[in-house]
Amino acid sequence: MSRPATGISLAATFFGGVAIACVLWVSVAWLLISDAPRVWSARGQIDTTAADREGHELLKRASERVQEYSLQHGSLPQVLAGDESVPGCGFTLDELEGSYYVLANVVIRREEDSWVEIVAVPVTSAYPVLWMSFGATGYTDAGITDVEFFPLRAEQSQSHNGQ
Amino acid sequence: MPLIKSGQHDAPLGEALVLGGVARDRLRVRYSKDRRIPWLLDSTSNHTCEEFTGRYYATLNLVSYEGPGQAAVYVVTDTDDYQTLRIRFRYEDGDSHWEHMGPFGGVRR
Repeated sequence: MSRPATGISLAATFFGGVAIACVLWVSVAWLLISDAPRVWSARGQIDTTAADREGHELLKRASERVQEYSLQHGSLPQVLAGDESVPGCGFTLDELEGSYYVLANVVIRREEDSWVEIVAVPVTSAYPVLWMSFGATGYTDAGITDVEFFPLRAEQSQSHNGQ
Repeated sequence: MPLIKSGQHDAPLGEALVLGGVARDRLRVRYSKDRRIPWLLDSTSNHTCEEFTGRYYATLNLVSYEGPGQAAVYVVTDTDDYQTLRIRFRYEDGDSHWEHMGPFGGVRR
């Protein structure tokens, strides 16, 4: 009676081992072909406080440089990091890149009110697009507004006027 | 209507590539007419350009200067766990380089 029991036990152990091996192989294969590891790691690196601080610091530094350039030259720079052909305000392209945000290398002149805008682009969807606008004359009414994604001009104007 | 069929593997990424490519091509056409660098994708300064907005991604309505004859366009998303994409290109020949901006930067695929 003990032999059949041993045989069944061995078979159960064998098939159990095969099943576990299959599960392990499928799991490894899934990890290799899916985006899950990237997503998990990216989530682990999300730090909204640090990102927010960095974005605002980048914008503040850039706005100060734009103001300095304007006072010295009497005109606005076209970009933040320029060269001989396009006037910039002293940045290099590398200086525009942070860990969470990248400053777009352009100084936008708004047609409707002659204000100037600079934009910080988030590196992932975990952070919002940041922008800073300031007046071209005197620069006395500067402000930073975090906007929801895909902002509407009307909303921007309201928040802008409310400051 | 999404540019890439929903449910298709990595549809957001496919859409981003289309949006960035369209923006690049449009900028190159405009540049070819008068050799002037455009700073916006369209004439208004809204941060995102409706014409270049897909289901998952949207192209920021600004042109980042990368050097003489070179520019970059950013394609951003609010889709969870997806990264901003940047396409750097040359106006003259259209030579392009895609970058994923997130923690795992570089060309992912």
